[in-house]
Amino acid sequence: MDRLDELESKSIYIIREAYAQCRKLALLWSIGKDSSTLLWLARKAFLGQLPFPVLHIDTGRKFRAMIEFRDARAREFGLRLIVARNDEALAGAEPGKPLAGGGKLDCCTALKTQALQQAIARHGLKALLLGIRRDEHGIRAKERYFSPRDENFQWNYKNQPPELWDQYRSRSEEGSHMRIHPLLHWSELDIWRYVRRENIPTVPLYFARNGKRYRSIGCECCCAPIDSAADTLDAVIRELETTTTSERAGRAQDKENAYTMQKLRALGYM
Amino acid sequence: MGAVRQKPGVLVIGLDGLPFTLARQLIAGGYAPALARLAAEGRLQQMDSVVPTVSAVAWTSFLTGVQPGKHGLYGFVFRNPAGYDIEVCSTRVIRRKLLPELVSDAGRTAFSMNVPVTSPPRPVNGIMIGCFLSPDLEKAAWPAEEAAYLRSVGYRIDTDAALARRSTAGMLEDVRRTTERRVTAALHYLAARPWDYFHVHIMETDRLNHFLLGRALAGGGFAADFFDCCRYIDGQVARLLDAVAEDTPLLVVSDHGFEPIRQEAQLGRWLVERGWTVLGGGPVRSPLDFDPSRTRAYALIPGRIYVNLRGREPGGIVAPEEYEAVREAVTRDLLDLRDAAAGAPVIRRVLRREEFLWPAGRLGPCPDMPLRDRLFGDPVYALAPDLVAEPCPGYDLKMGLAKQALFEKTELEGMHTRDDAMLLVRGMAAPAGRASILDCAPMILGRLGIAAADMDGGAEGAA
Amino acid sequence: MASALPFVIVGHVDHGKSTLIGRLLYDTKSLSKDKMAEVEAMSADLGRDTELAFVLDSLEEERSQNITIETTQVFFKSGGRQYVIIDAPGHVEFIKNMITGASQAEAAVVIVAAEEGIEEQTRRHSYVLGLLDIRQIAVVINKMDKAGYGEARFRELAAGMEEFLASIGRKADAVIPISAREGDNVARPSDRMPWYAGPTLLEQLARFRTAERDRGAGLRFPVQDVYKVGEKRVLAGRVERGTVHVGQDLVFMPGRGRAKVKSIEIFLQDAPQKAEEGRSVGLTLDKPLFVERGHVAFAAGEEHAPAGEVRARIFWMSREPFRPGEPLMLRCATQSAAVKAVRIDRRIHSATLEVLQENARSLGENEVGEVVITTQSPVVVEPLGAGGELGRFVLTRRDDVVAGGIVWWATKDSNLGPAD
Repeated sequence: MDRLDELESKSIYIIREAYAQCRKLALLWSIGKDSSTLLWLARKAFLGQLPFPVLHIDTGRKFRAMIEFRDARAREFGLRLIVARNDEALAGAEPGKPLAGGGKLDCCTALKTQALQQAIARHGLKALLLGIRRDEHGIRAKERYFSPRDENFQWNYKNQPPELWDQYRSRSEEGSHMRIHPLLHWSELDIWRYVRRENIPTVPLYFARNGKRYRSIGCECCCAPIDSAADTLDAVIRELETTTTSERAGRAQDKENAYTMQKLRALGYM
Repeated sequence: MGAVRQKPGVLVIGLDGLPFTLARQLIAGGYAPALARLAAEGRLQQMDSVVPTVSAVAWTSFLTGVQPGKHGLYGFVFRNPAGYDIEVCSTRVIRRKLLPELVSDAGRTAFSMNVPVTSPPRPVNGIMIGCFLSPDLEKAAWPAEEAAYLRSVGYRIDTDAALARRSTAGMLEDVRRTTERRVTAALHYLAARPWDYFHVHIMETDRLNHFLLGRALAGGGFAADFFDCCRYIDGQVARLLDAVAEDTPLLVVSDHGFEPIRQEAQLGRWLVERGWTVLGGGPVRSPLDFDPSRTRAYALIPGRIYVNLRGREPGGIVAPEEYEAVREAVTRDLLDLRDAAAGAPVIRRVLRREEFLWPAGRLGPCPDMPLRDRLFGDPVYALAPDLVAEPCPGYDLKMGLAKQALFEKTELEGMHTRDDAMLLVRGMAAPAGRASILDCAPMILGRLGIAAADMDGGAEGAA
Repeated sequence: MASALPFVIVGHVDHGKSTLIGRLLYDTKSLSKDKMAEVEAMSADLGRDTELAFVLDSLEEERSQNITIETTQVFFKSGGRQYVIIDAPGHVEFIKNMITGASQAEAAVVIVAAEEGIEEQTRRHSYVLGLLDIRQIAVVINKMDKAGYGEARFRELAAGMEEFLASIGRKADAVIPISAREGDNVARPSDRMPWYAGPTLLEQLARFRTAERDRGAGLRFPVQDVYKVGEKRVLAGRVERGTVHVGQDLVFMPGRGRAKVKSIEIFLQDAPQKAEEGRSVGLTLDKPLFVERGHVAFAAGEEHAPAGEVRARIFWMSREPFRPGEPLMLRCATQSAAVKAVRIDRRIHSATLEVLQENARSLGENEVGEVVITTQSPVVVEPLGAGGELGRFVLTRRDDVVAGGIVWWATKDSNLGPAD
């Protein structure tokens, strides 16, 4: 088993644990690369037939390519797709822009968080699978595989139940839900490598067009692309392998570098 | 019985570092009959290179059609952004697609051999053989299987530069053999299938100029050897020409010119003397082995100056508010540098990065960006030098952090010039006015009928 | 691509663990450029010089209090190999989080500050390493810069640590004098301690091995769930040990049901013939058998009797002490069994290893108990030395984990006879 196999197996284990402990489960799918990988792993866990629905929070501002992609995959994978929207908030809103009258956080709260709360209540969901990774953001690094949220979706990081070995706790108080994060131990590069290995369909926005690509996708009005020539999966992986500026890997590469340095020195370029 | 002539869409022959003025001399002196023929059929003109003027940067601009500020390769070496380690450039730092990739994307076939910087090679609809920076054949070839063929014909990635320092005769023999084998391999590939874009790069002219130019211009024994070798290389170019149809659109192009070195000037040492770079004590193991906690500016070859900027360099100490003042002060010190023995200034001018990354006029004025974005924005921009010093004729700018003296003469005899590169065009619309190396990619793509998006060169108003 | 080596850094919070982690990331160039810029911007806000340790303290209040609260996983690369640091905080208050962090590690670095010396937290955490069966241990004596890089103090502390480790049946692979702040002996050999000729911390980490999988070992397949996929009844689970083959004879404990493996189900793979250790798969059997979550499949002939009594060592993690008779569950792999009784033979202080009481009635937070647990229904466990998930368990009180345990020995359940 190589590294990707290990990551995969652990994630499948966690997904199955989540379902074993809580049947009223749903998978939160943002159509991005991480949750699409999560969806793929869930399909593997349940041998092709998800016994629970997939939930997409539609803010009305997602890239059109994402919506088309979503519907195509839902058909292809036979998913039970629930699309949640905060129709009330969207009613008076200007299309293509964040909601007026507040900051970005308020817009996210109204269009995303509230829509999610409504969906959980409407479908009686007790637990959600999310594609969050530890290496994404400082605070995420503190997340657990099984993380309880209370009524206000607050997360009390101080009082986290310990996760010992593979004993994942999932039951929670009435009126709140449990969040499960089977991808915590995956890095961004792991995700892309896995996408490549498995040929997981991904939204083309991640690949460069006209010198730009999106590193993460969400609402079109708040997402900015980065400069990049990487227009294929291989190119993106290559770019990530080198731009994360980690130490040069391996003695073999050090030797090569030394050789080339010598050459440049002899040529007077050093 | 004549061999079948191939018909590539565009043929490009690179002659590294061949000055326009020298090319004319060679033609006039009868040392380059193939070039002479081409010059008569097409048009030979002088061409400007980019800043900093060094092959890795210039050819990358040739291949991408953009200024270094957009492709991200600023020299043969660069500072690994996470620390103060020095690294050798590669395709990994180039943020744009290269000509053979653009051709491939349009569904056409592309062949590229030995063009800087194409190591490690990138996948194309065809074959890419990496440049002289490849450590071995297996890592040089894409697809990797081609390494077997190359090995079987004794293909050489590069001449031996250390040999060149030791023995001129050895170097000359090495240059001939390497060029001959390279062209043999190129001819093999040329005949293997139809090509839309076929590019062979001959590096050896650059080596000749680096190690022999001084003596060549001074006349005497080695001058004859120099010109003989040029004639030999012209003969290799002829082999390529004889293998293609007579009306094949083509480019013979160089990336910069050459002039004799008077002295090598150690800018790294100068910055130490003026207190900008502070050494840590102990042996200096690399050009970036200074004490970052006390260094405000440091140098990389050729003539690149970087401010040790807080928030960009990991150990940076200069605050963004002091950035401009530091640049101004370093500029004054650079212009102060004199070759006392000769009583001559060493630096002709110092360019600020925004001036040469977006020079006014041809490419429009520098975009008015807030300082923060200019310094910390895009990683491509973040590796760009803050200043570039252009030398007076004869002064080759080096680093020399560990050197004890400011000036030195070594076995190197030739240094690069920016305004004397050579462009020979046949069967294509050559630039009407002054040519720039940035014009080449749009010209080639135009000839192939492929749209060139977002490039810096090309005729004004052309697609 | 090889798997990463996960390791934990344990010890007292003020002995410089966060700085050490920051130093490791910095020296292996694993900090991205913008993270560095972010760190410096954050430090400027707080009026402090850049402290590498700030990288890991992303929660606001931690930064102003200078304490790490939670467990963090941080990746870095060195010498072509990937590492995962599981940072474990040292405050007594958060020990249960520490144990959680430590539980995924395959090696440990114990940090001791030269001036402060070996404190209670140091010992307690080292004890937990023993509890969690972590055998690859490096001890670093930190802040050598404050101790004048003196050899005498180092030797004194090295001896103290070696003695403590020996008393819990462990041994340090290396004891290294370092300064995380200055960088001595972390990635770069120090030239300020010529009396030390051993490895740097990075060199020692490179010597640690990732857990190896033993494909020849006996099969252990705990059933996680049972799915109906089309007409098939599929047992879902992870091969915890050994390899499972199509056609293999299996025995499911504790019920002793027997069947052959009819097929191995892996999505998008056609009829795989085997599945090796670590893989999450599905199994179908050649005859209908009552199997449910919690059952464990063994290769026929290798099964051992289920246990009615488990002799174990447990680390109590809840603020509320153990009360005899309170309802607890024992959870091991996918099994869940109600606890009938817990007999505490010895109650031990985890830092001093002092036996506080024999035949105790209660166990308090951070105390270790040598216990005998009787369960209402039989459980399938093994001594930890045999390897694998069946040697570790947790005790839960209303779904909160209150203790972690290691199986010492399992006693046969005399009330059970063969099922068929």
